[in-house]
Formats: sequence, C-alpha cells, structure tokens
Amino acid sequence: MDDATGSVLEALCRYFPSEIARAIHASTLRRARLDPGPLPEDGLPDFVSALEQSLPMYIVDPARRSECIGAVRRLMPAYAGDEPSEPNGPVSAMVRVRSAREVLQASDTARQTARRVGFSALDQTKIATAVSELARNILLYVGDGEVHVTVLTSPRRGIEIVAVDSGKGIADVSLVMDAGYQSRTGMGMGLKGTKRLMDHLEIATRPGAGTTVTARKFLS
Amino acid sequence: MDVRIPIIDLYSNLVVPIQGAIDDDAMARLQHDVTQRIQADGARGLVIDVSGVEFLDSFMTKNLRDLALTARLMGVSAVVSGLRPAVAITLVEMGLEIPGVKTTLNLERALELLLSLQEEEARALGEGEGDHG
Repeated sequence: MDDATGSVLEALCRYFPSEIARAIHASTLRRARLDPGPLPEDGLPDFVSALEQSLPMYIVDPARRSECIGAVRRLMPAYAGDEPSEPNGPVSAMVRVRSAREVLQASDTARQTARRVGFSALDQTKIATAVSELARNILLYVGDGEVHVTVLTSPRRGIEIVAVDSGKGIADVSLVMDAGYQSRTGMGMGLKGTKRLMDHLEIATRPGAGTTVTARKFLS
Repeated sequence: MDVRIPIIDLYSNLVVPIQGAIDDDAMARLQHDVTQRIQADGARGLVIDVSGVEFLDSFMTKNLRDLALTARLMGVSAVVSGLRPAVAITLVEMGLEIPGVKTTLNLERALELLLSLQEEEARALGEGEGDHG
C-alpha cells in the first residue's frame, strides 16, 4: 500500500508554511481516526472529509479553502482528472470589514490574488500587510467598510486595492502622512507604511463623507 | 475558531509560539495569559516565536512589542525570535521597528541569549554582594 503522506504534505505546503502543514496533517489524521504513521491511499477519503471539517480554522477565505481541499482530493485516483477550480480565480473580490476576523480575511484574499497575478512571495507579504493596514484602519476608526481587490491587466499587470468606508473622513490627510505623525492606536505608520509597500496610493476623503483609499502595485 | 495560543514552559523560560495570522482577541488574551504565567511560574525569560507568522501589520507589531515590554517591566527578559525574511523586509520598508525589544534568528538562539543574560544578571548580583562584604 502506497504511503500518501508525502504528497498530502506537498499539497498542504502550497497553502501553509511547512511546520503548520505538518501540524494540520497530524491533527487531521487524529480527527479522521487514522494511524499517526503512514497514510494508506484508501485512508484518503476519510482524511479529506476530516480536512473539510477542520480547514475553516486555518483558511478563512472559502475560495482558497476549496482550492486547498481540491489539491488534496486530487491525490485520490478517482479525482485525479479534476481541474483545479478557477485556476485564475475571480478578477475582483470584495470583503466586508466589520471584525478582526474580516481584517484577516481581506488580507488573505489580497495575498491569494497577488499570488495568482504572479507576485513574488515577498511582494505577496507586502500586499497582505498593506491590505491588513487599510482594513484595520476601517475597523478601528469607522467599524464598517469594504475592501475591494482587483486584478489589473492593462497597461500593466498588477493588483488594485480599494478600501472604502462611509465614516467621518480624514480631516487632514497631509497630517496622517506626515513623518512625525503618531496615531493613538498603532505606531503612526499605518497609511504611510502602506504607501511605501505599494507603488501608488491615493486618498479621497471629505469630512463627513467617508474615505476611499486606492492602492496599486504592479509586477516589475 | 477560538484558538488559544499555547504558552510552553522551557527551562524556566516561557515560550510562546505564534502561528499564522494573530487574531486581535487571541492577542489580548495572550497578554493576559502570559503575564499571569510569568507571575505564577516565576519565569525568568520570555520568548515570543513568530516563525509561523506570515505577516505583521503595524497594529500586530505594536501588540507584540507591548507584550515584550510588559514582560520586561515585570523583570523578565523578553526576546522575539524567528521573524521571517519577508516579514522583516516588509517591516523595515514600512519604517516599523521593534525598539527596545531584542530579536534573534530562531528559538534556539533566543534561549541562548536568555541564558547568557541570566548568567550576566547572576554575576552582577554576586559582585554586588561582594562589594558589601
């Protein structure tokens, strides 16, 4: 009987750092009541259904979650021919931001989109961080808003992040972008830091009329 | 989804391995749990290992720093270990630092550093007593 452990780990490692992939693998084996040792191929169906139950703890975004499940499921001979779902992913995605969990979800969505566009791992991290900053600003200062993530194709390939809220607006944009600015919540680097991580950032705001931050980064 | 971050006792140091993205609630609980454990266990050092963290925004960075500084205020040396290259590069590019907090490449070096700090401390205490005698 072939041991599927290596290929399962390989699939999980595409979605998680290796140490986390191993931890998920071990806990899924327990959940599926499978031996902690080698995973026989006929154990895969139980493994996949256990993974479907536990994966929401690790991947918030449903699309990415089903991609990850699909990657493991295709290790079963019966599913080997299945096409990966939406290899290019949606061109645009929106995440409503009202909670800390949704901040993570916005960031995760941006990272996956960045990966699909072809950004390097470093740029994916920068983009995920930038989106986390923007989404967190919405949560901290307004409490409700939206983050839109869009793939740009022309004139250059890249990613566009639009963070929208209908809060009080920013009274003095030049102040929050000033080098010496210190906010009450963070380290005063939120918007400034985000601008440095992206190629382009503009803020449209009016007191009482909300704020729209548009940030773009292009493939070099 | 209510994941508590584990706190591991290792050679009278507390090790906190943070995995994945840190939820704000988990971070707040962690601050509470760690300070309680420092007092209850009489821990000598604290290592916050972030090798499993994929990114840190300014808010999460501030929380980490606050946790380390709180521990230090309680008299416990605190070290942040295992920042991934992409995370470190991103923090520097944003202009974020973790001032006042020692960082090491990995958990092993963090424990080595804590050990040497604790030896130094013990020596300083010993010399202090010698002066009086």
